[in-house]
Amino acid sequence: MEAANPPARDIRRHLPGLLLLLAAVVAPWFMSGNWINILILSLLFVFLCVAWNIVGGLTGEFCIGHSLFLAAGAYTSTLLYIHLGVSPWIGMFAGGAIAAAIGMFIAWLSFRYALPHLSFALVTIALAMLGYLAISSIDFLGASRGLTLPVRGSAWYYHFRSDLAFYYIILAHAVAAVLLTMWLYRSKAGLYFRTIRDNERAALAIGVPSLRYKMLAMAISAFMTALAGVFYAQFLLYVEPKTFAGLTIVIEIILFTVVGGTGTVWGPVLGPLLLVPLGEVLRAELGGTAPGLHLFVYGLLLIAVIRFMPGGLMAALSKLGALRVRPSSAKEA
Amino acid sequence: MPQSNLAGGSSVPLLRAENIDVQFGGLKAVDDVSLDVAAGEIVGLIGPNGAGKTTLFQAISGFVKPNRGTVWFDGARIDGLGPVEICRAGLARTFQIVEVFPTLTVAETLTAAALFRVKMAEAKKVAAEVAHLVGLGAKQHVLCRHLTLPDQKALEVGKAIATRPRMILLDEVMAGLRPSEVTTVMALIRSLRDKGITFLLVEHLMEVVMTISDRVVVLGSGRKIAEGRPEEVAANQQVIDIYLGEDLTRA
Repeated sequence: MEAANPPARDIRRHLPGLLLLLAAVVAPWFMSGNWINILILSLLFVFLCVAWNIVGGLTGEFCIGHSLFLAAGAYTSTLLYIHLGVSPWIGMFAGGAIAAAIGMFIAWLSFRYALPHLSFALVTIALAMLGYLAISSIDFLGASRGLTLPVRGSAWYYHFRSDLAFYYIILAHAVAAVLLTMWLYRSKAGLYFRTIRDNERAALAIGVPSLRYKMLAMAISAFMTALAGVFYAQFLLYVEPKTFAGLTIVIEIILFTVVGGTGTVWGPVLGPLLLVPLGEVLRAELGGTAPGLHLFVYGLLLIAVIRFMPGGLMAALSKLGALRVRPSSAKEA
Repeated sequence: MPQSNLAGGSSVPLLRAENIDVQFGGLKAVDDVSLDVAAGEIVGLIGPNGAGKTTLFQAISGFVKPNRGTVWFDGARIDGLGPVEICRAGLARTFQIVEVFPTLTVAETLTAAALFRVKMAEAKKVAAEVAHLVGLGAKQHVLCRHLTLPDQKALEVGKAIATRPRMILLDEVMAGLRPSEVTTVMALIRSLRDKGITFLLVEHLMEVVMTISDRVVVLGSGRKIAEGRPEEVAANQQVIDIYLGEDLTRA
């Protein structure tokens, strides 16, 4: 399919992505400290949204339990670091493995009994809230006070004096995640994910073992989300339940992804890149007079997107692109 | 023409369903039905609406667990297996109401169907071959949701073929097609049979069933009421009673 494309067309196809990457690489050189922080947060959400999109978009399973995975990553690496002195660079794989195991268990539990979509969403919310309550009350995990990370001040311990280093680390995460999705999209697993999303009965009838692939999608997505948790913990040097195990961050992830375009490669990139800075600016400008206004704006945007471009920004863009590139679209039969 | 040794059922059948019961609440949708299909045969399954044809398909293909009875395919027991295992064992099916993947292209759909047997590169080749075979060669990059109904029906058959099955259960693939399209599909089924694929098909169009089938099995109210060559079945008084008013000999 794609292999038939001449290289020149391939380059043109990837040009917007490459330009975006170039912009991301040079952006911090033109920015002040506060804006770098906003960009770091934006890229963290890009990474989170791309990770969520593998389950929520590609496979079509509306998981609201991703705070569990974020917490699993953050808490595992932090505890290993505090108590055993293990570098978070190593701890992040432990956190990722635990998150992947939790994710696979949730998928297995929900789908072996063929729960319908809505029930799956509710089960994952319930588990996320249980996780939040558990973390908030277990003393070893710092309870609601949280855990403060000791500063060892070296790159080996995932600690950097300059925000620039954190910026490039999360940029690398985000780029790797996008490349993974692009590869996944055309791979056997990705094709299977999409058949499950589109029509599970038909997927079963062509020999797609849907339970196994739903578990795989959850494992990949949970692992990545845990890595985001480790990054965020190292960046803040502080882990506490509200930020890492609360539902707010999951709702933001889903909102950004839906606005950008669920199930597409670039939707979960565009959504947070536009909305996180917007939210931060609103918070900075109006935080004193109208706190929480950014949430209101998010809500309005979500309604507007669902009403006027149900496929998200990406669907709207590709429609424009289709009009421009192929006036006599070959897609219609 | 049916080979006599196949129609006679002397050899071990490819598919054997024995004493199948499927019960939905108080209703016995399939009641003690037994059925053999020999390798290379085309067997038609007919009966009025609600006779249990689709339910029997569901039971054989693993989408519904039979309450009683056994199903053998290719020498192995398959009742109790799920649809995925049964498909992978070489028994594919189509759906009465087309089940496409709206956001996948024709090529992607057929590739996905071929992928459990072969690697990606090979699966893409299989997909292209099958697309041409079912008349979708020019529409490989069209999204399934943009296909016309006849094309979706063709894709339904294509999906089954791409899994490289030994046998296909066809559930009313010709309903809603124009006569010329029906002729095309019938020719396709015959050519696939010549390549060694066995068929069990449910079809409402009596002329189609009577023309294409080596043998016909008739269900009524969940029970098997007749079985035999098309012309024998058409002369069966019980069958005539069920299809009162339809001229079965027209074919």
